[in-house]
Order: sequence, then structure tokens, then C-alpha cells
Amino acid sequence: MPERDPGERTEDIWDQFSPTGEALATEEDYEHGYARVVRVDLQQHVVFRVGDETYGIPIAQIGEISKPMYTTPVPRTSDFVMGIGNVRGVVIPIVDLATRLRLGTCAMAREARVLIVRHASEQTGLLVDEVIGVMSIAPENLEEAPGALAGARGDFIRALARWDGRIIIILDLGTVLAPGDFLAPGVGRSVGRSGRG
Amino acid sequence: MSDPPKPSAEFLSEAQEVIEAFSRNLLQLDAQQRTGEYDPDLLNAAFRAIHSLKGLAGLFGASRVSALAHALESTLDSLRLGRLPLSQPALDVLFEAVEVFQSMLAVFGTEDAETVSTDALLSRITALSPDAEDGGEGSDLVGLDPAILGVLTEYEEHRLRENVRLGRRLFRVHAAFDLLAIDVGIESLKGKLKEFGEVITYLPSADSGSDDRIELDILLGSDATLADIATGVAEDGVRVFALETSAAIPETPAPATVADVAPTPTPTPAPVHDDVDMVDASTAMSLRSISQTVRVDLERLDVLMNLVGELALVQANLSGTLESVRAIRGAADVSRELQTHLRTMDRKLSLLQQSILDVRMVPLGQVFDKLARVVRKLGREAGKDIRLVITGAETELDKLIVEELSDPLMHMIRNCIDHGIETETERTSLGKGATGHIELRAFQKGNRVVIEVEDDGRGMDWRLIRDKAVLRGLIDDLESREMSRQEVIDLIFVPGFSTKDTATEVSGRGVGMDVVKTNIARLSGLIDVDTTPGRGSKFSITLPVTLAIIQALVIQTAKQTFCIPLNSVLESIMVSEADIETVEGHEVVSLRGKTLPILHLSRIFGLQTNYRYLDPARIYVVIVGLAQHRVGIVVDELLGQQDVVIKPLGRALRGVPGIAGATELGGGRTVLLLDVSVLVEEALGRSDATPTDPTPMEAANA
Repeated sequence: MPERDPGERTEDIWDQFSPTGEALATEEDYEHGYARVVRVDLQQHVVFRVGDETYGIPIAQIGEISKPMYTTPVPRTSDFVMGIGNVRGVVIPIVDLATRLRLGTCAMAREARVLIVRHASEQTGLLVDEVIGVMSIAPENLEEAPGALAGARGDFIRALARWDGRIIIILDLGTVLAPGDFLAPGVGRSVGRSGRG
Repeated sequence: MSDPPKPSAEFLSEAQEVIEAFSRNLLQLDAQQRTGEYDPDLLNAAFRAIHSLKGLAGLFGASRVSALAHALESTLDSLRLGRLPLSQPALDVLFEAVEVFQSMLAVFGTEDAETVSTDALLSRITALSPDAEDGGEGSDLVGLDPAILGVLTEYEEHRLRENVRLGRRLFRVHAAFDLLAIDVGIESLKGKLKEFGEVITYLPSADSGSDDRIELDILLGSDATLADIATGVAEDGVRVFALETSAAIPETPAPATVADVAPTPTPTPAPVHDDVDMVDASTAMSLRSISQTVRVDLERLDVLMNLVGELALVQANLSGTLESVRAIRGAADVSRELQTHLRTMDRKLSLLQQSILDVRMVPLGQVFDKLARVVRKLGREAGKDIRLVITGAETELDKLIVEELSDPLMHMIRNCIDHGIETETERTSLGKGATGHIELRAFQKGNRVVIEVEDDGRGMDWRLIRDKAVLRGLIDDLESREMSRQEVIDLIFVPGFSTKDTATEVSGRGVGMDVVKTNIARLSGLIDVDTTPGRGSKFSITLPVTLAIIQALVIQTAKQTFCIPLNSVLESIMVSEADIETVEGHEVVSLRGKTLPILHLSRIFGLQTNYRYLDPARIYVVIVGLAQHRVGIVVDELLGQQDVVIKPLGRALRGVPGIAGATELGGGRTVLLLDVSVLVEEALGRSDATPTDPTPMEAANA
């Protein structure tokens, strides 16, 4: 069972990324009748590295970012399920995103972080190699996932974005975290449910 | 006006409580009505409940609930005043009202609020109402002083006539109380008198002697003799007199010894306890609050539970700080103080956790009341006279379990009525007594709760079950011959099994006991059946007291720690490798003459590819059981047992077979909890019916 560094401290995402944060009008601004000229259609994404690739997830889907915590392996689950971890008293599955995206496994380096994402009202931890920052993406800089990226990996991609000369893959959590994929192949309702007779 | 101010949870929970209380009154009345005599206080209580509901509904703008309550109130008033006899049809209407109220509450505040129709019920209520006033109940009270009659309320007069009609004698109990202790005195006297009969009214006595004493006359209807009552009461300042009425005498002539005819009390301006007062008092109550209870969302309790968990983590961190403080030279006093406080905090934390768990506990009576209504309704529909006997309604279980229990129990009760209890004629010809009995029992047994549903019906014939199972293709002919009696009876839990060919409205379409079994298993419960043809059947459900916290056996195998729910652990044994034999490729051990399949977690969970016993001479095997089935789980180490809080794994991992959840074992380490029922089924499915409980026949064949 892989032992991981205990994650005692959870970093506040807003503090960490405020230098790179965009100037959006706050509610106070609106209340005082002061309209700052900003684009309201910019979407903030948390950008992170997995292997050599750069990925992004809309910030609204991320609850917190934590250092890697203890995980308890769960048998009969897919290889990308590292196990379960305990986040503030709630047990959540922790996924090795590198394995999930078929990029090997996440190196447990100093920069490794767990993104606690909320999807379909369930929390899941995503282990990534490094969190790069928060960026705002204008809709015109987003392109639909190109059809050429075929195969299962293509399903994980919701869009591609350009930022700072790099290509950022915006993940589709719906497919990345499809509940049906969590169980190991061959393990399902049919196994062990046959009973007698 | 018609719109409620807000869909008020407060209204719903209070109304729900009132209706539940009303329903309980009705059930008691129903039981008593069958025996002939009923406690008028129950009818009064039912009347008051509906009266409160009316007030409550009016307050919250639930006009339709209020209207129905109003109609019912009049009916109940007629009932308690005797203008309307308390009959089964009348009770039918009242029970129906409970259902209608509940469906109205279920949709209250939603757009569907108008869909619940009350018209049919209202017209039935109207149909019940007595035709006009029948001009009083005759003058059978001659002989009783008109001075008394003059001050009685209509209700009291009715009760007085009822007592006379039932052939009871009337007594006047004269009591004098000290002004300061009158409340206690009256209550105690009332309690004593109630043992003898019914207290009809209290009248202040005119011949009071002094200022600091109050004298009362209590009118009592009773079957007992004057001497009995006088000795039974035996209190200072209390005298008992017999009153004679001409109607009472012919029934049971008063014994000659009771010759002390009471002097009639002088007329008094008004009775102390007036009917109107009583109603007003209850209205005033409804404005305050009917009960002292608070209803809390289970989710909010879970939040509290998690907070306690976090506090425990903070406490662990503080212990770490304590170590650092200890290392500082010259801080010995501070660290000692800190340690004391930490220890106190630890104790309080566990108390807090226990208290939160206690809040989740509710009495089973909630479900039992619902079932009692079902029994009554279905029994009448099926034309069977069935008496339900409930014991242990106060037994407490986790709210979640109680909620989940109502469906399986309902199903079992329906089965009892549909399949179990015979028709009246059948029963009479069998010499069983026309009334069928269903007993619903609950009791705590260690850290489990047992619920039994027993009927005295026709029972189950295992041969019929066997033939049916073969007919349905659930087992083949060969199998059927090899099965033991109990194994055959267990077939009723197999999907697709139903003995009654015609599906009735009440139960049966082949989905039945298998669903019950699945539901019970989901609650980590076991179900057993015991039946005797012609004598009846008994189903026993064994459940853990709570699902949120359980006792678990902590074990280690292949360097991984797991918890096994202690309620499914039967025992732990130690064997050596030589004791493990192989039957058709499956490993088994023998335990007290029975063959037991064993399973390796390391193997079925793929924890370690080439697993070796730590010590081949000392192998621990934890015997777990599910109903009649027993399986041994091989473990490396037994780490002890402890109370653990079960946490769900979330949707993605919920389906992992063999894992029921997770729990924290201190130090922030999360440990998996095994799902014993699945593991047992897997083991038995894999080893394909390795006989765990060989019958003598099978043993002989082998």
C-alpha cells in the first residue's frame, strides 16, 4: 500500500491564486453603482500539470486543493482508483489522474496536489503532478475537442484552450468520473450476486 | 387566506404528531370496541386531538385540513355524547380520515395540494351523523337527585346514563382537601378511584366547614361494592356513599350492607370541571406547542457527526502540540495542565458522539402503529377477523432503520393476512377460534434488536414449497430430494417464488419474501422463518441497533486492515494448515462436525499474489454467518474490536461487492468495512452449495 505524505494543511485556493486572479466586478461594486469594465463571460479555470500535459477544470467545480493524504486502497476497483481518503470527516474516492488519462502514474513529488472536485453532488479527489495557477479563458479561445483525438481519451476532453502559448485540455468530469468505470473490469453486479439456486 | 403563509415544516410535524396520537387512540378504541366496552377517555382524547388539529390547521391556513377536522370533530362529539354508537363502520370512517389527513399533509404546500379529495370522506362522515336529536335517552335516572342532574354537562350526563345502562352502581365520594395540597390530593384520589370505575364528575360540596379546606363530591360509577371502594381509597377526609337509582337496582340489587344512602348534595352553581373548560385548555395548548419534541433532519445530524469527527482530529493535533510543549524546558506545569484539559475534552467528545447517536433513535411504535392500521384495513377487506397484538413498541432503533423497515414489515403482515390466516369458516372447522392472531414483537437482545411477526394461521407445508419450487424451475427434482426441511422453507426467499396462484390485491405476484430479505440484508439484518403446518409461522428479523455506529472486529490480512461487523461474527477459531482440507477444489475446515467453507480475502480481493500464512500452525479463522449459512474468513491477525462510525463510500464506489463502507480508526486512517452477506453468498455460490448444515439424510448419503 503506497504511503503518502500526510496532508495536514489545506491551502486556500483564493489566497494562493489571487496574484493571478482576474479583476471581476464584485457584488459590492454593483451595489455602489460602479461598473468596472470587465468581461463577464471569462471563465476561470484551475490549471494543472499531469505528466507533460496541461489540463484545466472550471474553478466552480473545485472545492479545495489539498496536499496528498493517506489513501486506503479499495479492492476490486480500477487501477486509477488509488483508494479512499478522509477529507474533513467525509470519505471520498481518490483518483490518480495520470493513470486515468493513461499517462503513467503521478509522481509523488513535492508539488503533487489533490484537487477535491465536486461533480454530480459527489466529491472526488484528483491527484495531479502540479497545480500551475488560475486563468481566465474567453469563450473565443476555447475550441471544441478536435475529432482527430479519437478513442477513449477523446471522451475526457471537453474543449481545448490556448493560454500563454500552451494548449490546455479542459477536462469533462462527467466522463472522467463516470461511476461505471470505478469498478475493476469484470467486477459488477453480476459477480457474487448469483447467490444459490 | 387560503394560501398558507409558508409551507411550514412546523405545521407538518405538529399535525403529524397529532394525527399519530389520534391514530393510536383509534387503534385502542378499536381493540376495546371489539370486546364490548371502551374507555370513554380515549374517545375524549381522540376528540381533543382532532380539535387541536382543527385549530392548528386554521392557524397555518390549511383550510381543507381544517374543514375535514371540523366535520370529524362533530362526529366525534356525537360519539362521545353517545348520540352515535361507536361501531365498526364509524371506526372505518375515522381510520380513513387518518389516511386522508396523511395524504393531505404529504402534499401540503405543493401544487398537488388540491388533488387529495376529501369529498367522499366528508359525505361518509355526514352519513354517519345521527338523524336529528332523538330527544334524550329516556328517564332512566329516576331516583337520582335532580339537583345533581341539573348541574351535569351533556357529556357528563351521557356518561352517567352509560354507567347506569352498564349496570354499574353509583357512588358519591366526599373528599376534603387542604387548600394548598388540592392538586396532588385530587390526582391521587382520581388515580385510586379509576381502578374501581369511571369518575363522572366533580362537584364542589356546599357543606364546607372551614376556609382553608375545599370539599368535593365526586360522582363515581363502579361495579365494586361500597366496602371495597371505601377500603381501596382509605384516605383521610374521604367518605364514600352509595347512590341509588331505580335503574341500577333491578340489574344488580345493592347488597343489604350498603344501606347507607347518601344525603343528596345541595345544588351548586356550576361543576368544577366543565366540558367547555377542557376544550379551551387544549386550544390554548395548540397555540403554544403540542409537544416538547423537535424534529431534526437526519442530514443535520450527520453534519453534527462529522463535526465531532473533525473535533477529534483537532484534539489529536492538540496532543501533538502537547508533546512539543513538553519538550520545552520549564513548561512542565503548563503541559500538565494542558494534558488534564485534553483528557477532559476527550471524554466530552465521546459523550457528545454518543448523545448525537441517541438522538437518531426512535421507538418502533411509529412503524407498528402504521402496521396496526394496515392489519385492520386488510383484515376487514379480506373478511377475516384478525387481532394484532403488539409488544415492545418502545424498543428503539436508528431512525434510518425504522424508516426502511416499514415496507418489509408491511409485506410480511400482508403475507400473514393473505396466506397465513385462514378464513373464519376454515378456522372454526379446524377448531381454532374464529379470530386470527398476529403478534408483532420487538425486543432488544444484546446490541441487536429482534422483531418477530408471528401468526396462528395455516403455516407453511415444506412439501408444498418444494413442489412449487420444482414447478417454478427454481430447483430441479434431484436437488429437491437432497434439501433439508429448513433449506426448502428458505426457498420462499428466492426471487420468483409465491405459493398463492392468484395474485390478490393484498399480496403476491411472485415478488414478496425475496424483496423482504433483500431489504433486511441491506440493513445488515438477518431474517429467519420458523413454521409449523396448521399452527402458524414465525418470522424473526434481527437487526443492529444502529447503522451509523456498529461494533466491529478489526482484522489484518495481507498487510491490510479491515473491519468486520461484529453482529455477523459468530466466533473466531484457530486452526493449523493441516486442518484445512479441500473438497472439489474448495478449501474447508471442520468445526464441531460441520463442514465450513473458508475464504481468503487476499485471494478474492487480489491483495497479494502469493499469499502465505504468517504461521501455518496458527491460522485465525473468523466464522461469519448469514441466516443459516456459515463461512470462515482467514485472517492474519485479530486486532481487537471497537465501536466504529460507518461512512458511505460515495456513489462511485458504492457498488464494490464485498465492501459495505469505510470507517476511521484514529490517526486519520480510513479502513474498509466488509459486507459479510455478499462475501458469504460469493463463497457459497463459488463452492456451490457446500453443505454447511448437513441433514442426517445427507450425512448418511455422504
